[in-house]
Amino acid sequence: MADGKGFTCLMVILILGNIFGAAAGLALCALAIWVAVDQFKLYPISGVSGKDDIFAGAWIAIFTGFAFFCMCVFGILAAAKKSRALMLTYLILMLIIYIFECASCITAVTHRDYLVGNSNLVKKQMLKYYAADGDSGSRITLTWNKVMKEVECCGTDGPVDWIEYNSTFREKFGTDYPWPTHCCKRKNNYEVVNVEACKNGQNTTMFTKGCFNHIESVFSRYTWAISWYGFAVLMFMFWLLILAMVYYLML
Amino acid sequence: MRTMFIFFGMLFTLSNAEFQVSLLKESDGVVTGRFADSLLLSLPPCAFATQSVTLEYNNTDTNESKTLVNIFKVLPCRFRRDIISTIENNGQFTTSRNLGYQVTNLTTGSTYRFLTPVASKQNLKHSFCMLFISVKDPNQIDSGLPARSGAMVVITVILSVSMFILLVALIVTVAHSLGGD
Repeated sequence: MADGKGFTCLMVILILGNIFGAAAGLALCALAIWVAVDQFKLYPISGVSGKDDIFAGAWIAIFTGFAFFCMCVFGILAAAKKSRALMLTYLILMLIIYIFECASCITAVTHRDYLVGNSNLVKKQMLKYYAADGDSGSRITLTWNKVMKEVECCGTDGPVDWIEYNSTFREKFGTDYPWPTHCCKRKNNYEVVNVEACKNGQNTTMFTKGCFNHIESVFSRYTWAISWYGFAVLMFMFWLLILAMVYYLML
Repeated sequence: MRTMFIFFGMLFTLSNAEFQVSLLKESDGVVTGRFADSLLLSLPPCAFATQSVTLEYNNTDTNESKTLVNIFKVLPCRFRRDIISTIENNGQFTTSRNLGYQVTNLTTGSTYRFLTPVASKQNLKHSFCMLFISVKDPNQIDSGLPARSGAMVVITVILSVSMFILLVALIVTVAHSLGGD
């Protein structure tokens, strides 16, 4: 094909697009690292249920994000050198990375629907595993204690969950304490304000809101980071790859 | 789902005043009046002050009766020990409010009928209240996929279509370039 103005223009667009794509890929890598680190420490809730692909998607996105960065730098080189072989390599490798990143986005958003579509799974898990023996039991107990303390909440939809349903907690500790003492308000020295009032359910001495809103918002935040941002990067890469194919045909 | 069906009757031997016994609710300042094996009942009003309260309840499934005699005297709106009361302090003054009485050692899954004659004379008036306590099995909670969200459908559809288009475009590109050579 002729080395005309259109060709040069396309090459410049391709180079600029690859520079932007490299930055986007690196940002995806960084965001995925943030999700994988799990600052809110809610992984056990998804891990015990087996629906932990939000985090699997994050791990994939770390590698694909960095791979996008490397390939875009390579793409700049390939476009500037006007080499067919290099452009073909670029196209094939980018497509492979593209497919992996698609998998990451789709699996993260699907597992989010399983986990926090409604409060049933989280509630069932809380009732079964809180205060249970075993590895799952201790992980769930520690996670819930942390959430109840920091978010100042009790139960999934509310403290009534502990009364409405039978639970491992009730089987272990009896009905004297209708809910864990982490549901009770505490003073600054970590002492419970009024244990008897908390046991009776007086709403001035205990937390009455449910924890599900917080759990759902955290998992949604992680998912939007992986799946929606990943989706945005992929849409950009889609058009970049189409242009790259046109450029390859013109070489 | 096992339910405990509780039937209350509070009888007051006093003037023709009527008193409705009921379960404590959220508006009374508690999370719930229904526990697994106990209930929080409302107190007789202060109009019956100094009357002794006896509570008689009957498990209609097993036909056992139990009477708690003279459990407390109806309060003249002041603090009493066995009553559940809440103390509110806003830094300037402290108010104490009596909420109710907790009936314990009940059996989940039973039906109860409650009668309370206030230990005095004649003129019994009945007041009934029907209550259900249910304790559900957590294994019955359906924790399957509730519904697919819009985001999931959009992302899946658009990404799948784009993957397909790119694959086809790459094949066409390579084929065209090989054919052209």
